[in-house]
Amino acid sequence: MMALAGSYLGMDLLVDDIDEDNAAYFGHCAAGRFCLQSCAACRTLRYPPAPRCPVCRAAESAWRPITGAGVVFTYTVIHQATQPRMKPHAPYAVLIVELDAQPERPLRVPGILVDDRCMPLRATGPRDWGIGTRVRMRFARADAEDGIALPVWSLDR
Amino acid sequence: MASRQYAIVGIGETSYSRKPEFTSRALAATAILRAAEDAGVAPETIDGMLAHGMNDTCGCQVVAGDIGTRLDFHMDCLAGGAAVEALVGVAIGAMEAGLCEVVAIYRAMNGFSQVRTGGTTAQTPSGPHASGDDIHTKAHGWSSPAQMFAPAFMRHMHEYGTTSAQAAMVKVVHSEHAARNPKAIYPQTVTVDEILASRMIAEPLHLLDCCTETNSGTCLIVTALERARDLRHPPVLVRAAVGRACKPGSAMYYQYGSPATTAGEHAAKLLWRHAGVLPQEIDVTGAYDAFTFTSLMLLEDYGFCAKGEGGAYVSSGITRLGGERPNNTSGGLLCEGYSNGMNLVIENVRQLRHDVDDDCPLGPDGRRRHSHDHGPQGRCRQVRGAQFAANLGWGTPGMGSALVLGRA
Repeated sequence: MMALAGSYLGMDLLVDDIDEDNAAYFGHCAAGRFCLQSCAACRTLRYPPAPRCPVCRAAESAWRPITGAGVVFTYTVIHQATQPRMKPHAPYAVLIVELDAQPERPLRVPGILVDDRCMPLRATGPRDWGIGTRVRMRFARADAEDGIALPVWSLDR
Repeated sequence: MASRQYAIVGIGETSYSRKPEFTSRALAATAILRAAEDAGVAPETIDGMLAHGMNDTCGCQVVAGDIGTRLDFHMDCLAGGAAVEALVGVAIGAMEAGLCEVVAIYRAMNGFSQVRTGGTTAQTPSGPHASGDDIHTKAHGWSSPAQMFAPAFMRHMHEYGTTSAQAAMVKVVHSEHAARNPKAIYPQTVTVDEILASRMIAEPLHLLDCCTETNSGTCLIVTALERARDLRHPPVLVRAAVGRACKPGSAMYYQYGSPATTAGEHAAKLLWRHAGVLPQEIDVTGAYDAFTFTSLMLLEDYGFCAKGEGGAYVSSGITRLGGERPNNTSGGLLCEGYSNGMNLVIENVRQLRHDVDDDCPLGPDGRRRHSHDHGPQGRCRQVRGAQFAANLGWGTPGMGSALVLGRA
């Protein structure tokens, strides 16, 4: 057990009881790498980070670099932010992206849709994206003493 | 299945309000005492209690003391939606195991004035205070129920061509029902155009696609059928219960299969096997309407229409009073008030007693003389001759509960 603290877009992030799997995952993100656990027994990739393989239940795994690319599986555009620090960024989109990796057992990673500066894309006006659009992962570096970076998505063009 | 049969014998509720008038402790005591009076049982005969909440309520031991009873069994459960149907099943299990004989199930919450469903409160207006997997969601500014579930509805629209106007019909119909309910917090009827013109909250959800958070206390009393026969009202038999059935990996509901299909696809198999009746035999439904879309998806997944045809089903008139199978005749969570679903079960108990508390006149015996006038000017919300009711609870798209009730 350990704690991670930082801020993202001026929003305080405190993860006060992060488990070692999530700590390792966000540690890779902070280094600019997207990695997932690959089961040591059956090689299945899993997301979110977890202590056992959901297919064969094995505990051993290795972190494997994954191409952070996929298609928008579904999404929402949030017009009314709940968290006060997100209000200036609304309307912003939260995408659930199905990774290209392991299509036979899909992995879906949520994240904010960002612009070229890695800031939340303001989803006003006409849209040229939606379900099925290709996106690429970037890392929004949180301003963090322990180093957190959040996976976010940008349009792949 | 159980060796004995069990029935819901008492129902109690406070007002559905946005005024900060009472503590959750006071709301709980009022709801339980009203349910005991409704059942015709002395409060001290309640020897079992089940409460649920999300760290926003008052626990059983305190409330039992307040109503002057001693418990042989109780549990305080961490659960919001899809709790009440599950707890009816838990109550039956506890009584089958000999733990107690008369169970009060309650939900007491200041859902508007204190802890809101987004996890914000007057004391902690900002988030996120994330633990474990929360960082995968809350850190993205994605936390309230509307924000969390909207992608499931978006996917339903993509897969089946469901439209916002079809979903809005859920609210239109429930608002017509609420207009006949003196307790409803929103008794005004609304139109599809008004819903679609209301401001966007989290696409595809407009403001009027979302229910209203309220302060309320609600209670059900459950006991064995042989005991129920001596009580005040015709007993309402619990024919089947399913408690918080899950999709695989349901902690992130969007990971497995399609989020356009709920855990109801699994729960339905258990429910109809145990209920001994088919969806077509149900006279009135209570499909959780925290949002317009939740009702629509649940009605599909429990087999009231084909998968993907929920939009057509809720727009067809079937779910309206006077239709073949009305849904949420009280106005539901969208219009009567939000209580995590217990008020939807209370309404269906009243339907099966043939004693809905609408504006119809009272007879000399104190029971309503229902006109069964469901026309535009009618004031009645009693479904004529209702024999069977189903409640479909929503926890998330990945987790749900259900009940089938019938006249004994």
